[in-house]
Amino acid sequence: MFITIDPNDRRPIYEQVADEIKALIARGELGEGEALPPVRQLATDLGVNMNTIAVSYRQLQAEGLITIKHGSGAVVASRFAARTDEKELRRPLRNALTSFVLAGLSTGRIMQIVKEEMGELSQK
Amino acid sequence: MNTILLAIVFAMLLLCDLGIARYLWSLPVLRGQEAFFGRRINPGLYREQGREILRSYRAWLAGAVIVIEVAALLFVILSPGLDQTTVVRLGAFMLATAAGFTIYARFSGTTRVHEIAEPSAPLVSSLKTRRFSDYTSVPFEIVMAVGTIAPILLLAYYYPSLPLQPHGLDEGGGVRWMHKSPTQVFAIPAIVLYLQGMLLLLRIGMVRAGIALPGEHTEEYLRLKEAAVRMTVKLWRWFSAMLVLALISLQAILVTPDRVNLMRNAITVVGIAIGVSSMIAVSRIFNGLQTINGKLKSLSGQVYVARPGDAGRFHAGGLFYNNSNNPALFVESPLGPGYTLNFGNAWSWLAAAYLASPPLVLLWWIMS
Repeated sequence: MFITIDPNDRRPIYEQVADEIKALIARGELGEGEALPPVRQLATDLGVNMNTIAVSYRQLQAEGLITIKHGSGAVVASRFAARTDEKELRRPLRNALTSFVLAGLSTGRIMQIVKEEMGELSQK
Repeated sequence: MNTILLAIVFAMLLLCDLGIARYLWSLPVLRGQEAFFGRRINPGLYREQGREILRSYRAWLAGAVIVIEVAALLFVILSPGLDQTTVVRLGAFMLATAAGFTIYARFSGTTRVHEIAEPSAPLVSSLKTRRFSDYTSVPFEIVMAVGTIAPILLLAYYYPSLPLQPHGLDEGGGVRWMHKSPTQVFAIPAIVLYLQGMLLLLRIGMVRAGIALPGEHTEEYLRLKEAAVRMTVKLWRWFSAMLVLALISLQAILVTPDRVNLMRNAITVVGIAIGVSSMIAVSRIFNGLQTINGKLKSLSGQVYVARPGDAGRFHAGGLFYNNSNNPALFVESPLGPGYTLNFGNAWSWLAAAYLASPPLVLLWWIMS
């Protein structure tokens, strides 16, 4: 169970960390009640500032995926984020699909990619 | 007995001198251009200008050690005496160590201008918090603690009624007796207690030290690294157990002086068994670690993965690490196998004082 951050990715590191943890939760690799490493430890592992990880954790907490208790650290609270408007959820998907279309991929190929990604998420 | 003990101390300190000189001799190039004096430099520079720097460094190192040893020898020749000899030997050891590390630090500073940035690589974390209890068994640790402390407490409790101690055999084969003293009764248990503390510190420090991971073959790399940690913790546990066995055996002599010959023979057998089995254990573990290092190299091309940004910011010449944001007491050394203390963690200063205390305690004991 690893999270991998690409320094060359255009997304800020805190967003990459949050997305990686969300992916682990979605795949079931991080279950409810499981503890996340302390902010200092994860920041040291990745060689980033502690505040970067703190922002990631706060974002996950705001989405209802983890709870943070001072003294006992962060724990996965739920496999499902707090209810979000479906319109909000469609936006990043629309952006991703737009990128695929602009890259010249066919509809069939795009659907195959989506199926593969869903397959990975539902593996466990 | 004192003469033999001082002679052993003398020889050990001389070997320590030579050992540290040997270690510092190869330290700058243990990991080639990846950690030349603890800094990553250009391979071309490493082969050309690097050789000149290394030659100069080794000349200074050899010169300093030779001057100190010759001075110590002259002092001993001009003022012979076992006590003075040992004090001079100890002083030479501390001076040679300080001089060696100072020279290393000086040359490490000169290589800073040649340092190149690490290639951009993915940052990886296993999201795992390693706990000491995952690498050892709590009952074992409790037994080790009890096995070390209980004999000392028993000795303290029964000290007034402890018999006089045997001090070898006289020419007629009879036992020579000496008055017991706190030093004589508690010296070895105190040494064992110190060593147990050191082994426990090393076990906990190794387990809690973070492992920087490569972007590829991550899972396999982590599995091999964890295996190496488990193997080394096993070795420290072995030594802990042997120390408890040795302590209990030695206590038997203290409380049964009337059976000194029998006890001496039994303890000799125990001592040989401990020595031989420990040598076998050490060689097995080292072979195992060599195998793991070989696999790590063939897997990812390196045994040690630098944590992003660590070399430039937190490692001073590869020897000293200072990062207050890193909660670990020990971190992997970029220079070669092993670990180094994280002086950004306040507890590491206490650990350093604890680990460095034997020479100072020895000096105090000799002077008193």
